[in-house]
Amino acid sequence: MSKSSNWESTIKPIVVLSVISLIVSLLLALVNSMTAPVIAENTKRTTLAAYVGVLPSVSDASELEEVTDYTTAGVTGVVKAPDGSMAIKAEESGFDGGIVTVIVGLDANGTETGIWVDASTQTKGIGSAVAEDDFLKQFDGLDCTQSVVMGQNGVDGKSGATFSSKALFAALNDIVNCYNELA
Amino acid sequence: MAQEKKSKVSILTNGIIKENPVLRLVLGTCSTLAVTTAVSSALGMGAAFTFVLVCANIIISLLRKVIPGKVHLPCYIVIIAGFVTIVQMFMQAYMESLYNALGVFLPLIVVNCIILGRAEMFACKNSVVDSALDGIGMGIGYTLTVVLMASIREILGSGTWLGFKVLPDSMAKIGIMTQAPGAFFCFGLLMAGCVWLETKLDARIERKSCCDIDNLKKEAE
Repeated sequence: MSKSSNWESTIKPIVVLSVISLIVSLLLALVNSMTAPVIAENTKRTTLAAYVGVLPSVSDASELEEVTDYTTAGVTGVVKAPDGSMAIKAEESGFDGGIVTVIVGLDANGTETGIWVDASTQTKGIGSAVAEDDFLKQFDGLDCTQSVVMGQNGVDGKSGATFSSKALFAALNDIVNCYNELA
Repeated sequence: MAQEKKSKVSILTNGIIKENPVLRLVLGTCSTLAVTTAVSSALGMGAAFTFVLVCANIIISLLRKVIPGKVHLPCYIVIIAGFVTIVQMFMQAYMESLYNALGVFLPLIVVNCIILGRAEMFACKNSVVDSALDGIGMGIGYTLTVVLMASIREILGSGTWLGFKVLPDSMAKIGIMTQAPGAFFCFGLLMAGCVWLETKLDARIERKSCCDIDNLKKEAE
C-alpha cells in the first residue's frame, strides 16, 4: 500500500473526526462555563422558593438559616426558620436513574407543614404523577419523627409508578432520619 | 443524476408542503407526537429544532469536502450533538420552564431523523447558502406542522390555546386528544390534508422509492 492511500483510507478519517470532536468539545466547554453559573443560580432560586413554600411561618427566603452539620445520606440541604421549624431537601433516584427531589417543611414537633416534589425527570404522565397535589395531599400533617412506610398509616404509593413512588418514599425517610438526627 | 438546478425560493418553500419533513417525508415522528400536547412546547421545540437544523446544515455543507466518506456519520452526529447540547444549556439557563416542558425530547433532537436526513440528502451535496435555506425551509415546515397539530390537540383536548381559554367550560373536552392515540388521529388527518393540498396546488411530484428499480435504472442510463 502506498503512503498516500494509507493517509486517505486510514489516517485522514481519524484525524478529521478527532479534530471535529475536539472543536465541538471546546465549544461546549465554553458554553458550559457561560451557562453553568446561571443554571446554578436558577436552581438555588427554585430551591429557596420551595423552602419558603413548605414553611407557612416563613414569608421570605432571607429569614432562613442554612444548616450543614447533618450526615444523613440522600439529604442535600437543610434550612432552619426562626420559630424552630425546618425544611429538609432529599434526592433519590427513581425510574431509570432520574432524580426525584423532595422538600418537606416540618414544624418544631416534626409534623409536616408542606411538601414539594420535583419529579420532572420521571416518565411524563406516569412517574411524574407523584408530584401532583392530589397525590401529595395524603402527606398533610404527617408525623415525620417515625419512618414512613408505603401502604401504612394512610399513605401509599402511586399505582403504576412503582419506581417513582419508591424514590419518593426513600427521600421521605431520608428526611425523617435527618430530622431525628438534628432534633 | 440529471437534475435541474433548483431555485433558491423553491429550496426554501420545499419544506413547507412539497417535502414537509413530518407530513410528506414522515421523519421525526416521535418528537412530533410527543411535543404536540401544548402549543407552547411545540413552538419551543420548533425553534430549537430549526436552530440546530440550520447550524448543522451550514457546518456540514462547509465541511462536505473535508469529511471522508468513511466517517461521515460519526462526524455529522458529533456536530449535531454539539449544537443540541449548546441549545440545551442555553435553554436550561435562560428558559427554564420551556426546558422542563420539553424534557427528554430536547436532547433527543440529536437522533432526530430530519436533521441527519437533511445532512445526508442535502447538506453534504449542496452549497452553504442552499443548505442554510434548506434548513430554514425544513425548520419552518416542521414548526408549522407541530404548531398546527398542537393547536388542534390543545383546543380539543384541553380547551385552551397557548394557555388561554378558548372553549367554554360547558363544552366537553376530548380527553383522548391529549393522549398518544389523539396524536395519531391528528397526524393521519394532517397527512391526508397535506396530500390534498398538494394536488390542489398542482405541485404533486413523482416520488421514487428504493423499490422503484425501473425508474432508478432509467435514470442511471
